[in-house]
Amino acid sequence: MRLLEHEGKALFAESGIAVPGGKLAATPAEAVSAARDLGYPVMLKAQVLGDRREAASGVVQVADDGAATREAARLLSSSILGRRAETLLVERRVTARHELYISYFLDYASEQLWLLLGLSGGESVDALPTDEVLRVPVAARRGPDLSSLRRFLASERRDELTDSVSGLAESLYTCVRKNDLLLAEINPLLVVSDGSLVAADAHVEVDDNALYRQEGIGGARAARRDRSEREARAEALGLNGFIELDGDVGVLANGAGLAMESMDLLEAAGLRPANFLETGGRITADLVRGALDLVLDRPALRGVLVNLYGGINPMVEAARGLVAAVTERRIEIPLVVKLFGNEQEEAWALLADAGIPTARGIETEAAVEMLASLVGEAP
Amino acid sequence: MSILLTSSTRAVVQGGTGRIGARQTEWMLKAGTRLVGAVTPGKGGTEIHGLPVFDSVREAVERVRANASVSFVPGPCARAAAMEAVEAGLGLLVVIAEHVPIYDALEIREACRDSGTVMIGPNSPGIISPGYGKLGIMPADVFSPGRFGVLSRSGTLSYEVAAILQAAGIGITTMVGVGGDPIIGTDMAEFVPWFAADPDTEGLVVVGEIGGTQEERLAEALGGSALPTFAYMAGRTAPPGRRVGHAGALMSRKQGSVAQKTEALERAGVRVALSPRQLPTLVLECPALRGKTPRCGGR
Repeated sequence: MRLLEHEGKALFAESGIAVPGGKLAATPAEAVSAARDLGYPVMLKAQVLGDRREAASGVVQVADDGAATREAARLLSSSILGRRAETLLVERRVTARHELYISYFLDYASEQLWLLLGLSGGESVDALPTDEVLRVPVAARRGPDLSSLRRFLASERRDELTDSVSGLAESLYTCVRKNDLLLAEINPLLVVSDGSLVAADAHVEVDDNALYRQEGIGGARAARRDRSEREARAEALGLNGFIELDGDVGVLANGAGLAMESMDLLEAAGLRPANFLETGGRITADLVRGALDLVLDRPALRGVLVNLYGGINPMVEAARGLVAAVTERRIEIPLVVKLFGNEQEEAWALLADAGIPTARGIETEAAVEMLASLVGEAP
Repeated sequence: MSILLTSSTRAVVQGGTGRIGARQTEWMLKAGTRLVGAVTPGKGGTEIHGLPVFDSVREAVERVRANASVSFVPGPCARAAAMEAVEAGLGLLVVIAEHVPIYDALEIREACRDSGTVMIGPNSPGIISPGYGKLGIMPADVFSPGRFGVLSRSGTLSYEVAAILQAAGIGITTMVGVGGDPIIGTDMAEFVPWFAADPDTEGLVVVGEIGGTQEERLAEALGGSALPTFAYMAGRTAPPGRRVGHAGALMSRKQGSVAQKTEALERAGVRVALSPRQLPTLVLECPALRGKTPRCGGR
């Protein structure tokens, strides 16, 4: 789960990392009052998820009440990076001597946690030459090896940063482990006139699997701004994965691999998937019924492919759920089920009684072909 | 023969007395697995499906010489259970649970590497060696004994592939579901030397998917192996994973797309199928295997 800037900064501050003084504002009047308290000039920062807010005009500096009112109204009423900001972070402007980049990143490609340090910050960090970025693998049980950080700063002739950056790297690691963060990125990290460091931005991602032990992030969890309404519904149902896609053929599968295989074979047959849906490992009639309802709650759907494998899961339960959803909604678009494994004969009989077309082989292609021909015939 | 789960495996079931664990214990016994007990703290001295229940893994090691564990302990407690198995000195640990926090998985992996424990999972269907049984939740009836090793990143899709291979008369030595999470104990490439050293394994079937770089590393590992390998990968049309910030770009520009994985595997001589249905055809047409016995019952 991703956090908004101000939520991430609150976690940083709890771990002893300095952040600019700031206040949240939900209206232009609140923004003006916050700006007066902090003292002009201030930054107004739209609290939306997404990278490159500056480029999307989501961050502005204002110097007086008039500008603050005008810009706050604009930021709160317009769509920024495809999202509407519910609040603004009004922040004291911090003058930096220079900018750095630092992050801890759980990288799925290398299957490792990394400490990354760049000697410049902001948007330009992507363009940094490779030798100006330090990459240190971090052992989870030992924490970061700060000697490589010291050597790097020495070799770059930036020894004056060694103490402050080492201290910050330690504080940030504490923050990462305390809050189960998969990404804790400070970009830019400001070096101010007395040499101390201030986190000017926060990109933070929390491990969904650890949310149960992260009560402090409860508010962000309740809002789940990184999900569409239907994606949030999928989570409430207890589905393992649901992602909206551009096509018009619904997909319901148990297992991410089986769902992706279904999508690939649909595309190969000239059909375009409308969603990715993975039920997870605990099939019940209610779960499958809710999942099919979710898939069907999408306008202009042309068909649905259901692909289930009952290794140990009760396929009769799955069939009951499918029959319940189909019967209740009296759906008119083609729906084809491929269901295999545990209790398959009994499940097939239930589906047949309800008139639901079922591919009885093991190959997903057979079901896709069946669906393609039914969709082709449909008006 | 087979790998990791063999005639010398003596496994305990951690969490074997829970609702799911007990049911799975019954299925593993039915599949012919040599289980020597279950472990649930506080339930020592009782029995489950005729197996003795112990309070700790250490006790199971001392009393019934356990050397492997399959753990059904759910995500929030998976780390503590795994650490107990590592500290008791088990050689093989299969973690079935999904939703294990990532830092817990990292710490278990580090502990396993330090102690030489082979860790499979988390979020894994487990391991099956037909003839020796299974430590996991896969349906035993679609896996017939034969001469292919199977490595898979997914669960249910690997069952479909196994059933398709079985229908074509292709049996297996061992199937490993390496686990579907971003951090897993042992990735596909690391299993190659074990399969290569197994005299009964004549080839490999790989079920991969989009994301990460496991298939790319597998291609490198296969470079030095003489095992004919066949792969199917899911996620050709899946949207790339969404990560925020600049860190991803600073680490690598690799996306782990199916196209990139296909290229890497084909360069290593792997034959890549566009659908599971094509796999048996590729296997049976392979010149390196012609005249040999990839068929079921080849053992």
